[in-house]
Amino acid sequence: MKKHGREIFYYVNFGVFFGAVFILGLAFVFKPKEIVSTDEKRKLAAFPQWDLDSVAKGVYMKRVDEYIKDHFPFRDAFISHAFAMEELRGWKNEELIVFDAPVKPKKNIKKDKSNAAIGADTAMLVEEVIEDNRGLVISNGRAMQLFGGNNSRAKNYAAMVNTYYNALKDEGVNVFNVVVPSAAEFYLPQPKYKHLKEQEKRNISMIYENEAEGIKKVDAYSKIAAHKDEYVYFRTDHHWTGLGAYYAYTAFCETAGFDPVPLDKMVKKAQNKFFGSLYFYLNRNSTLAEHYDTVHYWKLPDNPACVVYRKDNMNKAIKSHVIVDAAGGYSVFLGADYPLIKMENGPKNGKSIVVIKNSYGNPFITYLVSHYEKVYSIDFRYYNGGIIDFIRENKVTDLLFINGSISANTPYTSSRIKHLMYSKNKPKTTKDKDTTASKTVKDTLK
Amino acid sequence: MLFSAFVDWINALIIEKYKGTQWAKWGLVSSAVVNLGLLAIFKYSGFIYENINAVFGLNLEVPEFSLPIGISFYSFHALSYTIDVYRGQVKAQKSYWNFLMCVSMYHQLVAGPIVRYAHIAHEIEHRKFNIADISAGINRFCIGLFKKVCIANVAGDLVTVFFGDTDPATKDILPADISQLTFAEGWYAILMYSIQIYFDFSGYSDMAIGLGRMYGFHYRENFIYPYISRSATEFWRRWHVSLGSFFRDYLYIPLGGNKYKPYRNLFIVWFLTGLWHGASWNFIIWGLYFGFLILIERLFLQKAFDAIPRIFSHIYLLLVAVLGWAIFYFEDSLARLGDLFRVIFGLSGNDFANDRFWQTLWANFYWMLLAFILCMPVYTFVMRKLKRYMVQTQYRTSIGTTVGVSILAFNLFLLYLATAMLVAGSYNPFIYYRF
Repeated sequence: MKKHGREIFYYVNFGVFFGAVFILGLAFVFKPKEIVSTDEKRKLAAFPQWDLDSVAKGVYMKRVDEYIKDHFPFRDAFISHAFAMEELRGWKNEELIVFDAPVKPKKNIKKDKSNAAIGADTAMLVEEVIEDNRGLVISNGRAMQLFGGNNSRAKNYAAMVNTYYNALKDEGVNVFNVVVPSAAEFYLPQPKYKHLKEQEKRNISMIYENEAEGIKKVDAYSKIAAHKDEYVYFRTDHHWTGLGAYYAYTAFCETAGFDPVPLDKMVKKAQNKFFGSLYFYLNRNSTLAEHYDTVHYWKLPDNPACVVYRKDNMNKAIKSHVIVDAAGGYSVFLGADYPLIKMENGPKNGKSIVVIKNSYGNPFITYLVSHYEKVYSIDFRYYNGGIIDFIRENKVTDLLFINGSISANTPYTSSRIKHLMYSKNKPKTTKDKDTTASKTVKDTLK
Repeated sequence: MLFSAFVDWINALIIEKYKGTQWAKWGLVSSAVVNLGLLAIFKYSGFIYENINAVFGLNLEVPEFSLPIGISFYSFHALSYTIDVYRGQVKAQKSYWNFLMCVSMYHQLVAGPIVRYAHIAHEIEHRKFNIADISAGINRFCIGLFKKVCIANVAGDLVTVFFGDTDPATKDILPADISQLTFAEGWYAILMYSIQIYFDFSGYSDMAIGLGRMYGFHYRENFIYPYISRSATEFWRRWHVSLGSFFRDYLYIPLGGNKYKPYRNLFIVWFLTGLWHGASWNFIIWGLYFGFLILIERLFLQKAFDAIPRIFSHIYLLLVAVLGWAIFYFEDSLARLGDLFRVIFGLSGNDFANDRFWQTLWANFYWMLLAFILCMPVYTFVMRKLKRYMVQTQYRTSIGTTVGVSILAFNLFLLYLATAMLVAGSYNPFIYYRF
């Protein structure tokens, strides 16, 4: 290089470097900020409040750092490029095991304490800490959570259902229990995972065997197993599909003595390109991206109306429908995980049911409205009131528990539902600011 | 830091004024007492108390201080200055602000290198703002950033897979059970840690040197491809040069060096080198481990290696260095270190390898090769060849342009990679909804 050319290079190098830094800085200042990340299913960090204590302890700067990273310009593009790059670091087999370091969930809890977490969120964290430890397997374009249950946890869950049954049997309330196997039970590659074969089947039997005789146990397992070659579980999400839930519903009808509504009497709908929770959880794994899902759902011709209550204001009833097309993805079933949904437009037969559920129950519940005048869906993670009182006040005839096998084997699930039995917490209003919820979570932990 | 810089500045002036008298000596002593005293209070008081408690069965309350940023680096920096003034090797700085600036320069404050006043004294007063330096500084900074973010952090994540997390800030996190690791996992994890610590430390040094250069300061090299060394002695001439030379010039040689009680001197130097890295016994063991290696090399091993093919000495060094990092890693418990040694020497009875090992190995294989290559002086080699070629070729201009454009593109690419990976570090997905 001639002297002159070299000089030009120096200036250009200088300009390009600081130009790039400057442009990113400008973009950061002027680009509008997002509040939540739907991919990651969490709130993005908020700009921290200034106070002497947090500055002295260094927490303040750490949170500023989190804020910058969460709101970095073109964050989504950067992230997806980083993940693409990550896959170039070597090669992966079609089958992949994800070994969760024991670190991840705990770290999140810590972070949340300092953010004065919303009660319900903390509740979910507890669930995650226990559920995620077994890791995940990707095989054949499908991600599966490994089942981590055991006999004592199964008995624990059965005992919880028994407590409800004993409290209500004199009042003539029918108690149903549905425990749903997870995808791993049917699709783990064999013979490699021979040792895990039928473990959920055994576990679910263990739950049912330990339950009082009068409890009506729904054999969802056999129905799903008989149809396991159909599209009953998502590949990229940890839930079952609307079809899988339908087969469980037919099992429920057999137990309860109903005639299930045939699928062709409903309107079949589909939403293409659904990338589920496990896809994002596994850093947008490219194998899963190729095997994205389609959400099939069945709508009653009149798509019954309902009212939902949001966790930030339990006094306000919001009008909605059983199926919410606009919600997209798995949320088309019931719209979202509301603490309480009242579906009171069913056939006038005087029957009513309370369903104690988490997100696994959503598609299942959409089928129940054809058989009950009133269906009440209670999400045990967010609802705070007493369930027994609710049943008595509304003169409910049936009570149904529905959980995936993994969550039924999570100690938090049993203790939380048991805790809600006679809970005296008043429904929250916006003014209460979630303090009641965080207290109950702490209490259950003790 | 303001205080310690002030004391050293005053002392240096006193030393210079009363050169050769008792006063100068007192100036030096007080400067040493203040610097090392502050270092001892902030960094080592907890450690000292814990050991006193352990030895005498007492239950004294362990004092807690938050460690001032970079105290290990700036204390040594300031101390080297007063010593050099005492020896008459540099002139005392008249301006407090100039001296404070020199001590507090942020480039090297956090993670080194330990800059000596003597090396930059000239530039403090006659600094030139020079576009060639800025450009070179930018190149160096981008490389350092890449080493830190794209190599060291990745290697760190891989270490975490096997060892769990021992980050002192999050101590309550479950560390993995080392005794359950397979043989291959144990070796792989310490190999990854060796990569992490080299690229982390040298990446920081590169960034510091690069930033310094943008401001017109030329710091000395701190890492000269240590993993290509052929003995522990050579390793320490290439690894963290500024620390090794500090201990050599200000401790080993004044103690008598090789001439007067060399074994005692070696022991003291390596004990303190270990201790400097952190207030914990494993660092001391690690320091003494290297002291011991250097000793036996001096006594007979070096001669033996000279007689056999070079490859053996390379293997020897890599092995002892990697094992050394294992000692360095387990700050929290020597029991876990024992577990690891049982695993990697095949005494644990665990399997040779498992799925987790193979999957991790293959999934990061190209990256690992890149890291290995970057441990060797490839860049220097290519640049030297290129320069030699440029002198004799007629296509000088076009090659020059190509090289220039490639460097530009390369810088941007490294910057972009590092940014993407840093931002992706905030990706924190949940299976269940959290809002």
